Amino acid sequence: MLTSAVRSIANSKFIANQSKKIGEDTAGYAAKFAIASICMKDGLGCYYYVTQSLKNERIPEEKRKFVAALDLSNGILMIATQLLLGATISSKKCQDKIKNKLFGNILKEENIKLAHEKLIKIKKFKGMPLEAFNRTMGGVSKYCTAGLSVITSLVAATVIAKRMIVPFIATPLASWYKEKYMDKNCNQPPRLIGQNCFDVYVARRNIKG
Amino acid sequence: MDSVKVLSSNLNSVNTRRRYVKQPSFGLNATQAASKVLTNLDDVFNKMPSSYEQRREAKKLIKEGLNKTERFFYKLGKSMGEIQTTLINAVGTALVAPIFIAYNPIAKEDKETRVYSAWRQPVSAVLAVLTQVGINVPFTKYLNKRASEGRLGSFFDLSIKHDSNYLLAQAKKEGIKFANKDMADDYIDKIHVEQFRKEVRKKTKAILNDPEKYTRIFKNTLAPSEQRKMEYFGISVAEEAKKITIKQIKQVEKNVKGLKVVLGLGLSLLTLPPTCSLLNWAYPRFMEIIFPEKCKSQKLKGGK
Repeated sequence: MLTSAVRSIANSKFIANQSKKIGEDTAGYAAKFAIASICMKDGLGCYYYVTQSLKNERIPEEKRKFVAALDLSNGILMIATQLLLGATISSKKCQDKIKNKLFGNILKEENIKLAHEKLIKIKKFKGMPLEAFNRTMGGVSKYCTAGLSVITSLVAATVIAKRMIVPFIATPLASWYKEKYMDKNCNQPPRLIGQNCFDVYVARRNIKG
Repeated sequence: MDSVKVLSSNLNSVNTRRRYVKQPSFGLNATQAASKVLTNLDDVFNKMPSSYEQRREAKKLIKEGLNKTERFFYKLGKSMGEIQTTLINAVGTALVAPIFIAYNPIAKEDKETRVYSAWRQPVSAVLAVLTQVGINVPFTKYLNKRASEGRLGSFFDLSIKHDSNYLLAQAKKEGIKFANKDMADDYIDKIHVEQFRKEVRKKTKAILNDPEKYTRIFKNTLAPSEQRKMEYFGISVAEEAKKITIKQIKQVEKNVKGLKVVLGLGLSLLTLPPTCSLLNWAYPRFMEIIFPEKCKSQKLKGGK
């Protein structure tokens, strides 16, 4: 039952097509998909946070929309910065630069020829055509560059954009929201003990995982 | 090896083609030649150059020659999938985000509130890893198994080259133990070579039973002498079968790799709602246990 369900899903046109594209990694598709995957998860997370905020009875009713708007802006900010930084890093131009710096040795044509010349001197590799060696070498270097492309894009998107840039922008943005819209209208007594509910709520809210 | 060279130039060089094209095929037509080759298939495979083994050995040597950075990225590129994406994201969430939250100089909130909020990140990362990796690891194993059994359809059919992890799991079931990783790799290689040969043989037979295909190959087979035409024809058919097999294996492996990523993402998305609820439940409790004093002053409940 499970296998037939998985088979049907896997062989659907969209899934099969995406699987093929990721597997072949044409033009760094795998890295782009990894960024898209993170953004999708953030998007869905954002949706849950916004709906939770709108339904959260611990927030005074007149403020809920503002808090939800704050969640939404945070989500949008995260997705936008990740897409921007991820796309920049995973672009061909940028990847080529990093690739040549890191894997220059295994990508240079003259080095491949030199390695091939040395290799065919070994008995068991005698007669191995350069083309076959090139293909083998290409297979190894392709995985190296794919790994590089995915990790640099992911680190740029999920560490630098999402965890360094967004908190810096989001925290003052949250305070600005709070000062501009919430504090002026907050006539109800705070429901959380000890502090204004929004001080705590907004501080906690603008830094999401 | 000379015969390999001649054969290779036969297939690639136009000049060579001109030189050999007029050789007669000593009275045999394509159908007769095909049936003769079919009855002497073992001879053909004995005369085949072992390019697959050569490439495999060369790949081993190339991998050994990689420096640490290259090897790290090679391994990463080979294993990259939803699990690795989740782990990288979790590292950012657990280790980087708290620092930037707690020590953000622009933030106006008091330090205690920021530190309290920052702690939510590692909790969230641990839960994300537990749920997303927890569901993706067994699912990947399941996909490897089903694909290796050929039960996911021809597009994802790994029955011609079983997934390495699946082979190791099977070996474990059969009580086969490996002293080290090299021995396990050799075991996997051995099975892959056997499976490859079996598939090439199957495809060679299929070509020799298909008049359209063997006639085309027969016509294009060029030999240095008429006596060697049969030998060259047999090798040409087997080479064609080999090419088709390699192409098929590579394509299916890529498709399965991609499938793991796509379905892995789907699963991770499915785990998000329960993870959010779990975090809402776990975060305040975690803080109350680990930092009771902070909780006293904050009086925060819930959280995301």
